[in-house]
Amino acid sequence: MKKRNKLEIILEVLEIVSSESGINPTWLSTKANLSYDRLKKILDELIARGLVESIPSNERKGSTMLVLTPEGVELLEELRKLRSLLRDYGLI
Amino acid sequence: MFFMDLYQLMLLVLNIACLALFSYISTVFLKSYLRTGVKFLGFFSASFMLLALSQAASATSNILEDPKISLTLYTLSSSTASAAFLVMLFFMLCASKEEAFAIMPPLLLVSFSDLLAFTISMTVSLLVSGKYLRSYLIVLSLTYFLRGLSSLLMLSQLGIHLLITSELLKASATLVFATYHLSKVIKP
Repeated sequence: MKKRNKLEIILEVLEIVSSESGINPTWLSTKANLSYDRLKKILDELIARGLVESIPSNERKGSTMLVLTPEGVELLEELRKLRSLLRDYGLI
Repeated sequence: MFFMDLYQLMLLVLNIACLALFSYISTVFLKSYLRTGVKFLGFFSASFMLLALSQAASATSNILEDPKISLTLYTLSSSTASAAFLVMLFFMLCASKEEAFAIMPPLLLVSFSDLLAFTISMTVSLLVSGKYLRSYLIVLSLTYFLRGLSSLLMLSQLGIHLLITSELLKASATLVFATYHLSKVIKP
């Protein structure tokens, strides 16, 4: 399997969080095919940049769920626009 | 005359359209870079900005009356375009796109022909063993660097001063170099 670069990982994480709003980090790491540590690093960065928000889960006490912020939704749209161009250049 | 004017107008329109499009693409890349911190997006933004700059230089060179400034801008347009494609090429060939950014600034520099001459002559100067020869090559390298810098700053007074200084320095260093070689050859 081709090693994904950081942009591909961010794009995938944002897409999963967007399609499954309220996903928990453990399930996200499985779906994104990332180790929990690697995902945590990416998530910390996305949260610090205000793209993803970690909120307390309604279903399970003590656990958190992830949602995209409006900035995250906007970025995802922009990255989707760039995706085809970046693929043409072989960058993703 | 009419066709020439029409041709120039067409070129101008095409260049301005390309300038607007490249600027837009560069902005989209830049926004994504600022939001994600993924460095190659930033360099792609810079690459498209250089292409936009190339179009701007090309468009301006077509409309300016002064042949010297026009020629400078014409040269600048090809230099900036080559720098833009060099950045793209590098990222396309480089496997580790995240670490590649460190090599970008020197790559951008060497893409300007005078700065390429500077880099090569400086490399040669580091490899030669003769003390005088090395000194000469370093001076020569610096003159190329100054000339490259002057071509980038040509529209300002500083650029013209740099060009005059570098040419004078090069001519003087070359005379010293030639004299040194002659002294070696004619030495019994």
